[in-house]
Amino acid sequence: MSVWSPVEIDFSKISFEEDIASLKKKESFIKRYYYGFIAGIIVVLMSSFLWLAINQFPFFILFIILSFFLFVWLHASILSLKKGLIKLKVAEKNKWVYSPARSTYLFSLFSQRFKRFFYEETSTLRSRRYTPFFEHVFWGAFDKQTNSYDFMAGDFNYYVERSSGKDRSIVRYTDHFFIVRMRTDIKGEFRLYSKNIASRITNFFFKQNIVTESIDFNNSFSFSYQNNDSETKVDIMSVLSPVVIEDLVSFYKVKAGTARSMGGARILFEQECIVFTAPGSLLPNKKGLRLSSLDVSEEDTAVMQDRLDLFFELASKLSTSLTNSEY
Amino acid sequence: METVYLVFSVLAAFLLYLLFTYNSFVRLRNQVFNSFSGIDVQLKKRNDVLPNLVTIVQSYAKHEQSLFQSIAKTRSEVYSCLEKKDISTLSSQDMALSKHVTSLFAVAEGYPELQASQQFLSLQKQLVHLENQIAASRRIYNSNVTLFNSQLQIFPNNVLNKLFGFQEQNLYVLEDQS
Repeated sequence: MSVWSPVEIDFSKISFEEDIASLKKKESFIKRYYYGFIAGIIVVLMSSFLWLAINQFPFFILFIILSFFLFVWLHASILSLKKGLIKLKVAEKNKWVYSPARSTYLFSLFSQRFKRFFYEETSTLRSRRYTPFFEHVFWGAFDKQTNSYDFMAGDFNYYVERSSGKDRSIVRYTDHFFIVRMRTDIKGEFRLYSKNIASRITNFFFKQNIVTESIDFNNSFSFSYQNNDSETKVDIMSVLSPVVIEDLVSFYKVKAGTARSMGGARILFEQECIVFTAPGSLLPNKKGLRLSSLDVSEEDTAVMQDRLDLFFELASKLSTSLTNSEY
Repeated sequence: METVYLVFSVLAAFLLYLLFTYNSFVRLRNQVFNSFSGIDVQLKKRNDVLPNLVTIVQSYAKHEQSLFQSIAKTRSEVYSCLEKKDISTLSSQDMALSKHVTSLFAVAEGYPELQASQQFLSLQKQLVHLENQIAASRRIYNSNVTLFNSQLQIFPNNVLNKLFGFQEQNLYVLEDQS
């Protein structure tokens, strides 16, 4: 299988065919028994009123709750299945490789390669009981302005422990990532991440603050880099040309704060690739409980394609600017 | 006694507010100057690349002397405006120079040998890249100026600014000379 990845992946550990077969099996299962499920929910709901009629209030409540849970389960199954089917169709159309399954293996590889990016920055409150995982991962290539770029993209899920007093709860966060293979003139690496109070304090103490000419950019992003010397700063400033600054600000405006996230919108520049992460799933849930919701339309795939196109556009513009930095 | 504390607290809060407002105006104004220097850098880069492009086109299209002279004149005007930081004249000269560059490319289209020259193609690519950078620098500058001017105009900053005396900055608007 000839796909690009920034880390060495043992593809035998990812069961592409089985995962896609299981997705299709789930689709046919829900399609076949859909009316049965709906009838079941209605029967449970109706019988709850029977319990009420014979003055069995606890059973009435129990059956109401049961019908509610059945409804939520069916709804969630259809939504998650639809997401997988849309992505599968987009992947087939573009001849990309797609893995819908949850993979802790991929997370472990990527958290080692991009340790600070996928591991440390979201680890402060991360639950030790649940392992983060990658899901709905694509590998492929796209063409922009006579150039072809290898990429991979997907969802990155992690759990955070929230506690208030004696109550503890686990919250699942989903970010999406996009990694594009791009040879740049950057020595070492540097990261841009959404500005927050913690980053302001870090920058104050570690003096890792680079002021660009754009107020919007300075208010949106904080910097992080390994060597705090003037040479590194000059390198970063040479990458952040006016066009790149504008593109990154637009990326931030589109992506930041669209969903809950620990990391927010972040970008890692390296010599070999650029990594983007942003809050929320690559393809957010669509509404719909009807059986017809499972049919993937052109409109559905266009939504997915648009979301990827934003990254393709940004990556290609960055590539033009980064490779022309000698001008 | 409590009244004295209260008066002092209000006074201290007001002084702190004055301090923060003044500092934020200074920061914003410096950002505006910084973003203007971004335009300055890109325009100077374009001015450095242009003579090479003119020379190579001149070797093929000898009869376009008036265009080459206009480019040289506008180029020196741009330099002079940059020295004086005269934004309103600079924007019109910048626009004129961009138009001349477009005319230069149009002239070059009439010479297939020139179009095939690697040196010409490389310079053309550089110039297109620089034009994009200049356009982005302009937008960044204008965005900063808008933010700075808005901060000066909103209440109560407009009242405080009577005390501080910060001047509103001009937007970099491309003006057509013709």
